[in-house]
Amino acid sequence: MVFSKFFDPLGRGHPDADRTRSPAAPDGRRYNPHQPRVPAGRSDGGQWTRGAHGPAPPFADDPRVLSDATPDNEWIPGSRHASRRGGRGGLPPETFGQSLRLERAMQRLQAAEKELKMRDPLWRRPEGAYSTTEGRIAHFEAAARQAERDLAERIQHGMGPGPFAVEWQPARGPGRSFRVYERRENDRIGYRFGCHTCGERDPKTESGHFYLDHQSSNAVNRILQLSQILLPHCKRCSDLQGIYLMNRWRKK
Amino acid sequence: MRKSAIISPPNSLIAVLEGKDAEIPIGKERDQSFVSTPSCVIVDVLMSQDGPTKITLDDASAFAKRGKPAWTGYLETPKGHVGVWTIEWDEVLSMDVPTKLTRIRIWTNRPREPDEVYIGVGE
Repeated sequence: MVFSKFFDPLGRGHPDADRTRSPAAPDGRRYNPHQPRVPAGRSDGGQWTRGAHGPAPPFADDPRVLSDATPDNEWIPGSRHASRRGGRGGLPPETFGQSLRLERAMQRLQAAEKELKMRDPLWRRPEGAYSTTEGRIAHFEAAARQAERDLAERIQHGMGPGPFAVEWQPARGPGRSFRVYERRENDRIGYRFGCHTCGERDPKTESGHFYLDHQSSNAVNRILQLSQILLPHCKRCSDLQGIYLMNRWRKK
Repeated sequence: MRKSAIISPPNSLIAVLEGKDAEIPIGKERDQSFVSTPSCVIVDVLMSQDGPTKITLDDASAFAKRGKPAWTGYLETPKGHVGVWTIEWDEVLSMDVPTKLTRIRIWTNRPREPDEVYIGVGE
């Protein structure tokens, strides 16, 4: 579920609007096979020259470049070819497989994190330490799994629109003095699509009315400051949401 | 001294506890009107959108004529205080108590979604 379809608090619209990095180049740079490298035999041999952005200069203009041949054409015993001098974060260089696993874990974590921050601004990414590349991969894979579990828990406890949120109506504000038309519309949506968290079409209240559930909840929205919507909630999910919020948002 | 408030609490729940250090229950079954821990009891009241609920806090002896309470138990009150809170941590009613373990009895005017709740403190 993508929370952003209910809200657009940052005005970005497109779900990919904030994706600034290519999966193949985590630091935003892209591979240019014609980018010159410092020739072998120097202390910085093999390293890119002229940075990663913009077009590469003509080879003849760069006095450091002795040849326009790619390093693969060089056959000098003992020469150092262009390669990543070290892995990320000072760790040993990664293999292709390790890079792929790390990228996948980071993407999973970022996707879950993006949804979580919209539902629970108090949520924080789990911390961890690692001293090897495999350790780093394991940390991010574990963090991604934890974030996904946390996200499922928030959804289950009514923090944010649930999986059965199909229709909703705008909230006039955080107040709970609802008008007759709002209650009628909420019941219509609830009896048709069910409770937005569990899908139950019977609200199990004494009056037969569905709860009008503010999303984001008022407690959360004090931080998020978003426009709120109203969704139908059954009694059980409303109770669980209330207890969960009381535990989670205990004021310090 | 008797204290009363008429409120429509969020999520139609009120909590009787001492303060923010209390242990809050982690779940509630569908048909449970009360759920508790050693330091907190949560009470299900009238659906807030159907109307307000009158909550009264007083010594238990003031409610003796109401018959058998709907809930009875003990709450840890190490600081000598009992309060009625909403789930948004707004304290609605409070009173001081002389004991660190306080007997609480709760009467309601009906078993489900009561709109009158009487919280009796002490023996």
